[in-house]
Amino acid sequence: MGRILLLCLVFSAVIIHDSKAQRTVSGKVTDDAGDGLPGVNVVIKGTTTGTTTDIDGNYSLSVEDGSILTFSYVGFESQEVEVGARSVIDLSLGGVIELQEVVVTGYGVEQKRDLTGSIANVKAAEISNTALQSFDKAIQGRAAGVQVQAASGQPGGAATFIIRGIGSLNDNTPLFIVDGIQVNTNDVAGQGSDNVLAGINPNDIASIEILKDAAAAAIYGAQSANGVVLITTKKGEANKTNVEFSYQRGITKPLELYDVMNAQQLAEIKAESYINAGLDPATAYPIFGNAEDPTTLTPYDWVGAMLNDPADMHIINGRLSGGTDKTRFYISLSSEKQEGQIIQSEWERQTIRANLSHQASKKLSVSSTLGLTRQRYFGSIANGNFVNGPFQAMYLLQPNSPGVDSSTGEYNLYPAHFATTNAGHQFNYNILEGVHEERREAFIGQALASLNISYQILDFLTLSGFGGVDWVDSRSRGERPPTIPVFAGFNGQVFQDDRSQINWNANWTLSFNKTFGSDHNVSALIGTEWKEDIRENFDATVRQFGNGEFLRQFDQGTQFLNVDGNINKFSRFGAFTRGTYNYQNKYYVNGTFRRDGSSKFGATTRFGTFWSLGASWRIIDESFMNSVSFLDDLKLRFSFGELGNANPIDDYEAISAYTGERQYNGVAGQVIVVANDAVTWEISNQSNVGLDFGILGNRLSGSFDWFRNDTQAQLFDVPQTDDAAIGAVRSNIGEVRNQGYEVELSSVNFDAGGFKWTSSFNITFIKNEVLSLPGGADTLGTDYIVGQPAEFFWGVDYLGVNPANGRPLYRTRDGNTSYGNLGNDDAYIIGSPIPDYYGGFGNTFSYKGLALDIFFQFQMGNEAFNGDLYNLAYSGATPDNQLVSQLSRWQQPGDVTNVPIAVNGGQVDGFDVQFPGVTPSRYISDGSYIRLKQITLSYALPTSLLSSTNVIKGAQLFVSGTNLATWTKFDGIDPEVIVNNNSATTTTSSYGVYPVGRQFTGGVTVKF
Amino acid sequence: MKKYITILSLCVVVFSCNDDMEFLQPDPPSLLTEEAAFSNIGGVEGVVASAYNRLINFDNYGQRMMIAPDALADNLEIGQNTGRYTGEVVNTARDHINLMDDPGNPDGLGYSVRRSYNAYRAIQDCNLAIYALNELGLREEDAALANILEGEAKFIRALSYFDLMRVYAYEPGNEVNGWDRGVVLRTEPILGASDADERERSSNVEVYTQIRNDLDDAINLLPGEADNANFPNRASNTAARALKARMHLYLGEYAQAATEADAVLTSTTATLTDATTHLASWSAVNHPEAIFELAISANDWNTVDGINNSLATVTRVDQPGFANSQGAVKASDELLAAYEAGDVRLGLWVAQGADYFEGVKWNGELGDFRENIPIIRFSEVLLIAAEAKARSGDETGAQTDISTLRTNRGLTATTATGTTLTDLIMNERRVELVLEGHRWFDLKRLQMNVPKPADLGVGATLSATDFRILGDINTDYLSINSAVQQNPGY
Repeated sequence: MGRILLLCLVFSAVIIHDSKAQRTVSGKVTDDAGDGLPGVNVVIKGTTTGTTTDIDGNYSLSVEDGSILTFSYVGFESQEVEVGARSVIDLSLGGVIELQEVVVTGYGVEQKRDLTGSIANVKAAEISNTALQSFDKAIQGRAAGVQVQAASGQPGGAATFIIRGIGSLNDNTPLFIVDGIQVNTNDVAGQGSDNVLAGINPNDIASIEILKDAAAAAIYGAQSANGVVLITTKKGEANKTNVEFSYQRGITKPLELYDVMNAQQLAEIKAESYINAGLDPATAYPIFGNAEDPTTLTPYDWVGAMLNDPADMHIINGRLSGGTDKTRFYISLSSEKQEGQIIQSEWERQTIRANLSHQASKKLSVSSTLGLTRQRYFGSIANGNFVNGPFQAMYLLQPNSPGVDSSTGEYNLYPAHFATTNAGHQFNYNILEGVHEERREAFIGQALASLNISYQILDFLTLSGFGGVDWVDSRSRGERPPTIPVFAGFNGQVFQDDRSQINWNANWTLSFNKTFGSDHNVSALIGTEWKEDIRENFDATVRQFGNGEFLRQFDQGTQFLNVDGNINKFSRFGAFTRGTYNYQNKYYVNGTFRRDGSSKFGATTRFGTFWSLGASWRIIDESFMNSVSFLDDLKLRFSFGELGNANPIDDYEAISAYTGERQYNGVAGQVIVVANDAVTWEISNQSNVGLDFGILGNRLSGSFDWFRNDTQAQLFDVPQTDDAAIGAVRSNIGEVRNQGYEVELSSVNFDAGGFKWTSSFNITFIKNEVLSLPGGADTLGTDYIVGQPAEFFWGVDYLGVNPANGRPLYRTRDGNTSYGNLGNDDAYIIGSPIPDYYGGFGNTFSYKGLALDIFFQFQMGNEAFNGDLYNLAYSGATPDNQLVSQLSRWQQPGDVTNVPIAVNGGQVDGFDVQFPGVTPSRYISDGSYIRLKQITLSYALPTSLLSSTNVIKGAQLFVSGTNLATWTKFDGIDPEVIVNNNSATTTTSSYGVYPVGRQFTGGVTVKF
Repeated sequence: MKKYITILSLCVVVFSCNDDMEFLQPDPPSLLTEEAAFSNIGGVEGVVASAYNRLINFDNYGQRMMIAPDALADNLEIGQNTGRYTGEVVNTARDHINLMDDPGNPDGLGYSVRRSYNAYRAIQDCNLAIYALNELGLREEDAALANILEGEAKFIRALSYFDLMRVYAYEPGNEVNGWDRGVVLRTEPILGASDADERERSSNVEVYTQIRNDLDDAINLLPGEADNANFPNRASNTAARALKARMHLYLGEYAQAATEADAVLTSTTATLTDATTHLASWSAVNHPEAIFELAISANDWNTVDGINNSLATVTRVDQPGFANSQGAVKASDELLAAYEAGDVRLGLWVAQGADYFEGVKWNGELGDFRENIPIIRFSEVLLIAAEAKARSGDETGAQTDISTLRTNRGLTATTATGTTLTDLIMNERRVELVLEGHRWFDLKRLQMNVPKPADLGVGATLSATDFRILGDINTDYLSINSAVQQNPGY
């Protein structure tokens, strides 16, 4: 009976309870900027019932009518909100922005206030609607300590990305991780300057975190020394379906052009150069025309014929996101097409992204990401001093040689008036015909997919499993039809290069997070990770086609050349752990430990150990700071550790292999090629001291970081003892130091009456120095010198022209003046391409819906090598067209000029009048520049205007300009695109590089 | 609590990273690994072929080991000045035989000079062959072939160490100021760079012990000439025995030298040429006296190797059939004076103008300056037998042997005794073996002062105790391997 009564009581309680309208309330907690705040405690007042917000700031909770919700967040005063009848309660926790920021860290997220490491953070807003195709170029200048330079201005082209200086003399590429997937950044296609990072639509990116020091990056062990870039893509929001569409259209114009001679000018200097060489100027007339007799000239504007100005571009983005409390999704589509600055060239990209997450139960959640991309590169080659490099050829083809016969419209042979059958000027290649009739094309397909499963074992213990794959497939083709005279002998040629990469990584982690007592906060992480990277390629060249007009069918060719293919792979396994402890959220210590093994490492050193220690002290939270009212944040950070760089080791570097070589008396020989079975990662010892601060109500906040990264065990080819008879093997030896500091500031300069002006500024000073070289040597040829930066230009100072005879003068190392014929022994350092400092400066002005963003980017204190001058500033000695500046050449004794005598062939008394044998300083100029990188003016239509439609929730119009102005003393076209390949340690000059363009776009974003 | 124990044990498991983890084993699909290279005994044949090939390198028997020992002594002077052997003939310090050097391209890190070390490359090949046969189980595949290959490897290894010792070290008992260093000894293959430890030079006695053991093994393992299908281009047991006889001679172990030499002379199928056939014998593809002769195939050379580096181009002057030949060396007056009247071997020196006699031993009979190179000939073994007997009290035997040679060279038999006999034998060695790389070593092993041709104007002799008797260890080698000691005086 008693039992029945009890049951009744329970029932009635349930009924009563039910009648009191138990229901769900949900919402999103955001910060000032509208970004979701994770980890906010949401508790029903007077109970222990509650939840915390997820990574996007969303929460959902069962409540009764009349409940009061308490929102609390470490470091903030709690806010209480009456539920009333509402089912959605969104809340903005205003105030201190910096403190509540959450940053993505290795294998987790942390509140920024808790960090001991140095992490730069780039927000979605800074890289959305960019015309720059890829996020790596878009964050140029946006983060302290990060130096990004376009390797080519070709749309979709590659960029170099260096964090805190050139630490490795071999490879400085950071580890890029997209939603946990460790992606490859190596060259994936055989044509053009391709960029696998351009496979990610910047508009899909929610945030980018750059892990810069030991405390932040060491968790990635043997891959961490160059820094780590974490890219997190967007997710849907619960109970809020968003449909967004944006369209952007614009043009690209050339940044600058060289001012090259017209037909008459070149004819004049060529005739003079023939006379000075003791030749009859009349023999120059058939080629260059006679400047005295304009009727002999047939002028042609190669630059005008080759440029695609303006080049068209458009970008379409559409996305759908939303979900329920339990399931959320983000789906986006995009299509983008940008024409190149050269005719007959373009880049296009289509992307699909589908991100899903689902809370299967209170303890179990799953999420997945999927990105599919197709990129197509079409047209001319990217960079380089080649006859078919447009930025070389269009400037130096002779202006008296028309590309097209104006009467027939047919392509002329080149040179038009003096065609020779082989090895004539520019190999007789008419680039106009080349870009029209050759076909150069690359397709890159990429899939990035990941799956994550998390299970909360205990309320303080979570087990997660993750798997991700980066799959890239590319096909490149180059077709050379027999209609192009120089290729006629091939009867059609097709080069095809197919590459495939499958690169996966998987890990599990166990994370622990608990507060003991009220003061001791402990978190820990442990996990292991597997990674495998498999790359295959196959390429072949086929000639002799039955029908040279029809080159698409590979099997129509009969002559197969250079058929080549190979498979490479490596695997990696790592076990890692991290522990963090803080006392009263004031004193933090943090330790990371990772063991990484790789199939690349020698068998004698299969595993390496990497670690870091970090500490921070939140001075601001000390009681003695209570009286300091102008300070809102003050924190000191320290970290040091030992990190690894395994990038420079080739997959099979450490394995001795055999090769067929030699023979004896008819028996084929076989020899061993001995490898270094002890070859290992480069070791970087990194220290960082940082200070974070906020003052005046956080109107001004920022960070200061000092760092020193000593990278030792650099990989060199080191000779082995002669009696081993194995020559040189790759060994770990030598050390490079990067030391410097970074300053990051952001400020709210004005905020009243709806008008707001904010600024952000960052600057990085770095000194790069080689500390030691193999064998204790002070120098290594002219490659490296102890005490000097890892990169420098080795050459001689140009002293100008001897007024007596027009010959150039140089200063040799021993101080003598020389006419040239110099060698490396006469030369010395005449500059370094490594900047002293670099950074960015942005300002945003907003008033109501109107916003103006102005962003400058700069780099200072470096020299740049303009290789174009080698061809274009030869005072008329060669058959190449010349810069107009060469007209001021020396002509008679007494002339004071910097341009030497014009003499055909360039030789006077056995001395070259332009090139002294080593790099002359006249090719080196100050490479410092400040660039007005971006101006964006946007206008968000007032919601009042839109609410009447009831369909459109928001609309924004924008116009934007990119690379609008550059202030520099560099005498080339673009001080940014200096090296003509994507290697950080190459001091090659800028021969015929593809400069970045100046872009103007306008667009609209509509939300439904 | 159990949960914590589970977690803790999980942590222990996580960090027990194992070097042998299957997941981390490199799997190079397009690389010839040890497993693939030695999948069968054919791989060992390839390595042994490579070892033989090392010997024909121009820094080894292909040129320098044949010419430099005569240039350093008193047999040669400069013919055409091509820069070659100009230092050697006047014994400029460091212009030695340089068996460990090669005037090739710098390798790695800008090390400036000359590193090719062919002798050690051959030794590495031999060590690898012996390792593969015995450690990788290939011997089981074909025991008979394995014996031959191991015998060949040990023969080439012995020859290479013997040559290194001749160039860089004093023979035991001949030490000057007690300098008894040999060369660095390696009998295990370098399979990875970690095997390339820095070692110091073993003593001369230790290295000769190794050579002795290798030769004993080779004699046992190698086939007789009749069973050697590639005789004389690959080693037979007679070649190993003849080399052992030569080694005994160098070490002053004359009784053993005589025994081994006699054993070779009675068992070899090589025949002594006579006065009528001797000159023409140098145009045979393989010399009729050859007990071991290196074969050079057309594809061993690039198109300019013959004209730039062959024995024929170094010794012959530009003339029909030898267009653009370099003719770097010619006979010294003293050498020509060493020939007795009637000696057919004088026909191997042909007048090419005033005071210019070119050697015509090397005549590129295979075309484009190419020819096979005899390393051990019947006549040398006969000379070893004669000298060994003369120096060990068997003057009758010595007279018989040296007379056999002389009567086949257009000279008379001898009945000389004492130093007259040994001097006669030494002179026979000089004229018989000229341009085959013996003269310098013969003087050195006997601790004789080195006479110098008067034309060179460098004095009558180079003292047997002069530091330049030994070659220098190249400075790069010294800087790379701090354990290696330079020879005195350098």
